[in-house]
Amino acid sequence: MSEGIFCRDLELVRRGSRDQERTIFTDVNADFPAGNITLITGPAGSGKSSLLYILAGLIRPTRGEVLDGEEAVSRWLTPHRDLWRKGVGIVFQHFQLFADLTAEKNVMIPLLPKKWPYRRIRNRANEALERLSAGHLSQMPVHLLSGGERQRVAVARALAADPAILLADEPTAHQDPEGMKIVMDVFAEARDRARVVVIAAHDPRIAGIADRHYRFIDGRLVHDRSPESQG
Amino acid sequence: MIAHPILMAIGMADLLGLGLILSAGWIAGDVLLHSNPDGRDRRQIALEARSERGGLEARWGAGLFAFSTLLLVIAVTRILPELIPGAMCGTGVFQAMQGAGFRAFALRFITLLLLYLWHLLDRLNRTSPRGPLTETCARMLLIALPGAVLGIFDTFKAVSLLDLERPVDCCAALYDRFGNGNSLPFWENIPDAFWMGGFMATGILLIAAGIWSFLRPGRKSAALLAIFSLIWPFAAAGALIQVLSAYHYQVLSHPCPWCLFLPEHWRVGFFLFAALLGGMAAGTAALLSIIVGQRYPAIREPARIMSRRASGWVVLLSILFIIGASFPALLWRLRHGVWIGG
Repeated sequence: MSEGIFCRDLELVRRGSRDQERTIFTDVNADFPAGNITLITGPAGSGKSSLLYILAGLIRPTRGEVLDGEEAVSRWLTPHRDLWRKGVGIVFQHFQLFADLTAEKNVMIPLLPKKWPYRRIRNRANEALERLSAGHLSQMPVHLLSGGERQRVAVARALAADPAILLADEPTAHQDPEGMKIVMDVFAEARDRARVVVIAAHDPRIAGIADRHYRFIDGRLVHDRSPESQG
Repeated sequence: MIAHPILMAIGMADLLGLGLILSAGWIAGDVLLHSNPDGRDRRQIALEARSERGGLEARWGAGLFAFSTLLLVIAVTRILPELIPGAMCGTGVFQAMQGAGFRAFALRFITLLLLYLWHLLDRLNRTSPRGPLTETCARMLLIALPGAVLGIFDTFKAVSLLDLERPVDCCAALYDRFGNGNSLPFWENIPDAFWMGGFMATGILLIAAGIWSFLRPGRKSAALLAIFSLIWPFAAAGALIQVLSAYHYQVLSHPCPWCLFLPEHWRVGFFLFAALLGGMAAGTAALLSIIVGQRYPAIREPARIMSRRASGWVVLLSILFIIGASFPALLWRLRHGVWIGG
């Protein structure tokens, strides 16, 4: 189980053609301890999603490192980082579901590397869907689902393997108040099981349950300690 | 110059492989000059990503180099003898290449051995998340790089010397040496019994060292194995060419290694020489694994496993070589009751 993930001097610079480059963020130092929900907010294009991708080991920062406990996982060789990523669940902003597969099969995908018996994988996937009140959608192809339903399937997929680190990019953007409560209850449960939970969002409703709050301001991540930002 | 498709394929594979190895070598140089594993600045993070890419390029480059070397062996043993007038096997082709062929082969096999050792270090490096052998791998790649460049250069030179209009005398190249006893190389004067004694003695010692290193992988056992695996190919190849080849060819004496690659002799040369070279590489790998494993605790266990596996390969390959090389001689003895030389 992870003690938490920690960013040290992170910087992300995107390069275009003809020496064009854009600094997305710089000098990011942040702690995401286990047993906490950490919220990251900031304007569009401030680098919230990119930071989540770096925390998930999907992209490399251009400077600095991400530590899992004391190990600089962002600098690990790719095969080791890929193995570490098995302990990370991520909810993408645009879901990244397989549109032609059923909700159940989408949720089963991250469980396949565990090499469990098929029945166990299937049961686990259905349990995750049930927790998101999406059990009735399990046999529906994803392309027939609404945006909110797809989002809950995406959350179920991220949770199915019971990851030590749960990262979510705008996980409630398509949720009505009822759906929002279901999703946030699931994140709260993960926090209570000492998981690292990091949410990047615009949604002000999330601030209520977050334990820690970081805000992107002008390419820097600032720890917001104001009382209204703390849950 | 002969524009045969296999020669073009060799050229293409060589150029592609060389491009990849040079690119990886450039990165390796950068790693050696600028790497600072304790730093986390832009340059270091970029270098770590490039170093991984360099490893991938070197793997593909080494693979292409090995593939083109195999094609070259096939060309020299099977295809070019049919094109060059008077050539019946690789001996005639080498005669037509006027010395550059031998240099190309020697450089290629030395480079392949170095690239194999690089590959071994790279595999060990990738067993630990932070890659503690990154700089050692970079050094080994830079050691192998000149061999690849020169080997490919000599191959082009050798191939460009091939001429369809100029005949060679394949057997004359072999037997003319006996016409004038003074010009015989020293190994031609070594008695058969000495070759066979050396072959059997080093073979037994190699297998014993291999079993010891397999059961108890350590610096002493691996060092002994590496020494014998470097001596054994010379003793074994000498015995094969000078003594045992006669039983493969069913003639009194024909000390030609290249005829072993011909279809009428079951192309046994591919198997026998691959076993010899493979054994030599595995024996060296067994020692190298143990040395780096003792120096870097993070990879000690995988290094021990790799050394053990390499020792097992040495034993297996040397047994297969002994069986493959001496089986026709034993069969001859059982059939006729005497050895071929009486």
